[in-house]
Amino acid sequence: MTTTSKKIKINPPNKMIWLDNTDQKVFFNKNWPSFKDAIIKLLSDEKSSKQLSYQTLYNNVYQICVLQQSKILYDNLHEEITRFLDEYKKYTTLTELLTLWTGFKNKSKVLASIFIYLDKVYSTGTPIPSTYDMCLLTFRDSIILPNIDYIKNDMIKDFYLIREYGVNMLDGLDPELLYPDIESVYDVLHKVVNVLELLDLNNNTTVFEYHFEHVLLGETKKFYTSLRDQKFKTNHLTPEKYLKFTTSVILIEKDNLRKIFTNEDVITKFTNFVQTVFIDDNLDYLITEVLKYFIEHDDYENTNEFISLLSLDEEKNSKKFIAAFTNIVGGYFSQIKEDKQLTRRKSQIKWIEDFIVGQQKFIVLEERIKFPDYKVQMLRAINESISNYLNLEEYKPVEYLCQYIDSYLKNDVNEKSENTKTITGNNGGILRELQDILNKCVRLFQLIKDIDSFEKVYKEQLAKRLLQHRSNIEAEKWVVARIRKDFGGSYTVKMESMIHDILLSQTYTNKVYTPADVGRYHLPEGFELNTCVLTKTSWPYDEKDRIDYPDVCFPPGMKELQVEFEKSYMKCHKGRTLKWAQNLGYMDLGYQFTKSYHVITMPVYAAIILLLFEEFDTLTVRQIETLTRLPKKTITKHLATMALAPKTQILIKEPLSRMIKDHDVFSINDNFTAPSENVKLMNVMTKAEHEEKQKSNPNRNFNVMKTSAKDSTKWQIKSAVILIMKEKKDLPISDLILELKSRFPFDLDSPAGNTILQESLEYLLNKGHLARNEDATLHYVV
Amino acid sequence: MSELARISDKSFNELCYACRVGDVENADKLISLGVPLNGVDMFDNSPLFLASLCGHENVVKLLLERGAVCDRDRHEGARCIYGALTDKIRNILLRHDLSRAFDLNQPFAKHISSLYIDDNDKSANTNLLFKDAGLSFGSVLTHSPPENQKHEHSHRYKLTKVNKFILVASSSYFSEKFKDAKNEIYFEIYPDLILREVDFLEATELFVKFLYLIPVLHLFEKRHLNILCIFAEKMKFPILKEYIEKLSFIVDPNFKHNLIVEYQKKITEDYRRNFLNFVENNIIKKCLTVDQDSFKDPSFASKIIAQVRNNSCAYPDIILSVKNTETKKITLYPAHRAMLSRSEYFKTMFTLPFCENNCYLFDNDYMLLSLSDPTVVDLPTEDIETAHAILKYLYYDNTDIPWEIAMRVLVTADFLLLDRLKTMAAVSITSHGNEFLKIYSLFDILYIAWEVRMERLEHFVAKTIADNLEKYQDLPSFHQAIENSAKRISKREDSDTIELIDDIMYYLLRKHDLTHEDLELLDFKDDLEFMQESGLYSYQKDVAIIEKVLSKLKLHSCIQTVDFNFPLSYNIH
Repeated sequence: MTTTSKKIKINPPNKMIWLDNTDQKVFFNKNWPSFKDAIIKLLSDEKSSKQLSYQTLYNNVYQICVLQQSKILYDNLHEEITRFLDEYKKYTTLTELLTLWTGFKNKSKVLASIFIYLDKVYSTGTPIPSTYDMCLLTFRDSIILPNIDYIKNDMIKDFYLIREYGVNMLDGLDPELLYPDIESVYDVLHKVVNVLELLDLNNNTTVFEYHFEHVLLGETKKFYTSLRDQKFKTNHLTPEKYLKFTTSVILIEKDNLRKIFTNEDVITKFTNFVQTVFIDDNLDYLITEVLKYFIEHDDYENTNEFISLLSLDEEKNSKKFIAAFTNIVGGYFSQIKEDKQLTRRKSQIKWIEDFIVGQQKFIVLEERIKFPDYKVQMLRAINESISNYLNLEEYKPVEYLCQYIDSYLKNDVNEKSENTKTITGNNGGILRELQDILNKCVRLFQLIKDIDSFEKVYKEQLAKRLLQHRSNIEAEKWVVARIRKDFGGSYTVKMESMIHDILLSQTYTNKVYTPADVGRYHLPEGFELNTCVLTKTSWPYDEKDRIDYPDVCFPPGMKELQVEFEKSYMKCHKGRTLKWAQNLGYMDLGYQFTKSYHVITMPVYAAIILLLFEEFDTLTVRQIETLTRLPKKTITKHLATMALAPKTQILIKEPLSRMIKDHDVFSINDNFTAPSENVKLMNVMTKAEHEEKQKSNPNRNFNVMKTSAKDSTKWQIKSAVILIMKEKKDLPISDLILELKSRFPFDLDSPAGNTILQESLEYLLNKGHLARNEDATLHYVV
Repeated sequence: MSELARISDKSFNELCYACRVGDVENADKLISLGVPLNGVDMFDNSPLFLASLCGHENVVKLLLERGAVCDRDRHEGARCIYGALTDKIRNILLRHDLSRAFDLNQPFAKHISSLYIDDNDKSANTNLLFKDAGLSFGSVLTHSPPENQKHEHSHRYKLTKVNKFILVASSSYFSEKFKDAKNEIYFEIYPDLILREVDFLEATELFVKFLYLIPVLHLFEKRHLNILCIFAEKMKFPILKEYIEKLSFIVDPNFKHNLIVEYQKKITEDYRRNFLNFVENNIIKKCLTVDQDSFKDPSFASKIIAQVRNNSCAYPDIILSVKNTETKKITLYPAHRAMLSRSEYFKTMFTLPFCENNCYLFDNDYMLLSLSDPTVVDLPTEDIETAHAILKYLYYDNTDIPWEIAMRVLVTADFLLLDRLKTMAAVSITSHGNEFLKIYSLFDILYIAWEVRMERLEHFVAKTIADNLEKYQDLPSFHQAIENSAKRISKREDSDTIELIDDIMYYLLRKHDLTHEDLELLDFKDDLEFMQESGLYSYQKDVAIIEKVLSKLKLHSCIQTVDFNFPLSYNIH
């Protein structure tokens, strides 16, 4: 216990000792030795503090500080600590180092508590470290830095040990036997890292960060590179195994790191290094082989796993990944070829089916991928690939896809022909199934480039299906609605109107005729009537496609029915013109042949001819002509279908030649039989007709159809241009194009689109609707 | 009509003044002395309104912390909010949650609350070290506990440690009870009612927290009230009983809230009064003064120490000594580590393993094993009055420092690392400047200010010099002070001006009611009339005096920097 210094008494206070330089030094020198002893005692033995008096020591510090000797005290303390630590400079092991550190840290805490006052006056508010920090920094300078190479070496050794331990564990060896003391290795490393991370270096980095991190990272790389090479040389790994091995290695490394580091950033750094060794350095092989393997085998789990390993946050890798993915998808779709061995129709359907299957495969993959950032890119890659290969030959997708849809819509009817007139709850399931299939192929629609042609072809086929009642009207409606969803209302307005016509016609027909009216018109039992009133503008038929021979002799009752219908219709719609297109009509006739009963679907005029055989066993062409009053050309055509087509030979011609002559005699072929009950009479074409068809039927000649589609686009563009120019009066061409693009869904970027635009503009300029200004802008001429 | 009572009391007016000028320290001191916060002056202004109107954010915060009411739904509260000078203050006022408006932050209550140890929190070991002066406060839930099980833990038996001196200080029941039974370690409560165990344990915990001034009044629930009422009656806490009785008549949550605020304040006040009496009766009156020489004899010393300890029924676990070098006497005070640890100096001393910390021995569960004679620790002062001021501050946050001893308190507080007390002592000096300067030299204050790093005093000195420049200009002590200040430059590397001169220059501006921008008008120095009217003339005259002094001291070059790089960040007072 010491006496409190006189200094405390401040009476009279102007006797400030510190103004006298000699006094302070003397005081310090007098007091320092005993003070120093206390410090040494504290540093050498933790327990010794029990013998020291806090108040004495604190008092000493206080007085020295009041005497303005703070700096000297601080420096001397520093010197003392350095001297003390110098004795422990010799490095032995990490464990020893830690023991020294722990002891020193505790001692420093006690030591620093004596110097609270010094901290208050000397280091607070300045960059000078507090006493405690200074102690730790001295440890850094006296112990850690001089021995840094030894420490590094030992740490590297320990790291090697734990990694080897991990790998052995992976190989199924019993590591407990090999490394019984592994936990203590973790512990030592953990503590050493903590020390190194705690110690600052030049205020902006830590000892660990500056001296150790890169060394340890380098070692990590070395270790895992050699592990990888060794693994690869000794056994050829399958993609699954490679992935599994890599994941486990990374997991183990992460586990190891977690036991050692508390700083998540450092852990990430190390893990990334391991990933680099296993993934990045091997990226090309991985992406071309492993990723492909997983994707081809629909192994979503492994694909995900694999992607997660790619460290996609690095732009380089993510780009590579997307490129590789695009490649794989492209490779897949490039394999899709038409199967020449199948029939034309079947090979077309198969072709589209292959695309749908492929698309489905990749879309499912994309859905199963857990990396939202890449989904968009993947989806784009998929769509681009499909689009590329689908549109490789321009006509193919349009025609084939229509064929595909057609086949589904028709199949539906063929197979379940009994009750397709109305969709009830029972076959809602069928509709759903159909929807499912169509949904998938609708995804392909979006990828078709030439949507104008698609509309044409689709309408053509829709018209056929509707007129022949060969499809489920609900399904048709649904498909059209689905197309509308993708391409907009204006695209499907005609299709909708077609369907609407058919539905409406049903009611018109019912007004005139129901099966109960059979007797009234002297019609055969079971006669059914289906009259279709088509809005001319909606249907893909021209006036020249319409054939109606008003003088034709219909079977009894039918003519009356026709007249009745006309009357009834005109009653509702005065002022409308109703024209018959008998050539578009069909008739179903049932006939019991010797071997089997068949329902034969045939054009109306063919049916009229066939019905003659109810009364006559044999007829010549001339006789038929007289009886039906049909033009001879039409008769020959239909007779050819019925007598010459090998599959639908329901008439026998006498003599059996390929040509039909006036005196040839026809009779029913009672031996006719076919695999299915329903038989459709195909049109056999005469040579001349065939040539004509080549010109007019867009389905057969794509280019012609294409031009017509182009023409309609041209007209649309022209009117759009006029619309805009009317508003703006003067506009440069570039602005006009922008306007067009923003207002209308034209594709003006493609070379074809551009040509159409140029042509349209030329047309308008020539016609004098537009004029060029001097500055080459366009001007609207009123 | 204002909702708040008009107060025409000198110290209240002083508080209002402090709020107007933004003197946080003085306001703090006055509030600590018990000057009412929620009143209005002769102009119907409340301290909070004044502080808010004048834009003193720190004062507003202080007032709110110490329980100033700012109820938006009332006239006075709304007035504070709408009168607020800055948005920041308005936000502080708006955000202030009335429900938290307990004086948890009262320095007095805060320390006592910090002594409470949550039994569930084993990490609070350091505080536990101070607990040993206390006794274990056990609660037993049986009507007649079997004698042999008394000290054993069982699920029906809960032990809570409570500092004995807190019990003695806060309740006459305990001071009476422990008068004769000084070595009692356990005190048990047996309720006479049959109760649910949970309720009883909860109520006991609440009660112990209440003893430590932790605001628990809002946690009282119906099921606790019966038990708490019994406790209050038996252990003589009349205020607690009063509160519980009033509480049972109140349903409206608003009224309840007001009641809680009112009583929490009352309880704290009551505690302070009790602690004041406790310090007077059990510490100051129980001191012993002996010759220093004879005290050096160990056997005599230990006899005296035992005597000091036994004199007091307050269970002292430390003895504070004050040595007077002139009279060669030593005065010994019984004291408590728990309370002294308010000072960082003492806290460090008692928590680290130095020889002062030998007096307790614990087992692993921090159960007290043995208690040796209390250690004697010196108070770094020779003056009894100063020692008393320190004790009063430590025990009940007494901030009323007589100016006569303020200097000594200042230095001692600096030694003990008691910053708040230092500020309070400085406030005492500055608010009694005239009396003070009759005895002390102004430059004594300056040197002390440097030594204890108290800016407030440095400014006080500069202001005094600026205001009385004529008087000081030729004093050698003034010149000496300037030279000393210049010497300090080497220490403060961040500025190359003489700090004292800087401060004086600043207060010269204020003296002549000028701002720094006004100095640009010095260009018009030919217009004498303007110069005189604006005060620039007299200002220049004063500056000339300073320049003269500096040139005499050959420090003249410094004034240039003073003029143009004038530091603007001065604590405005």
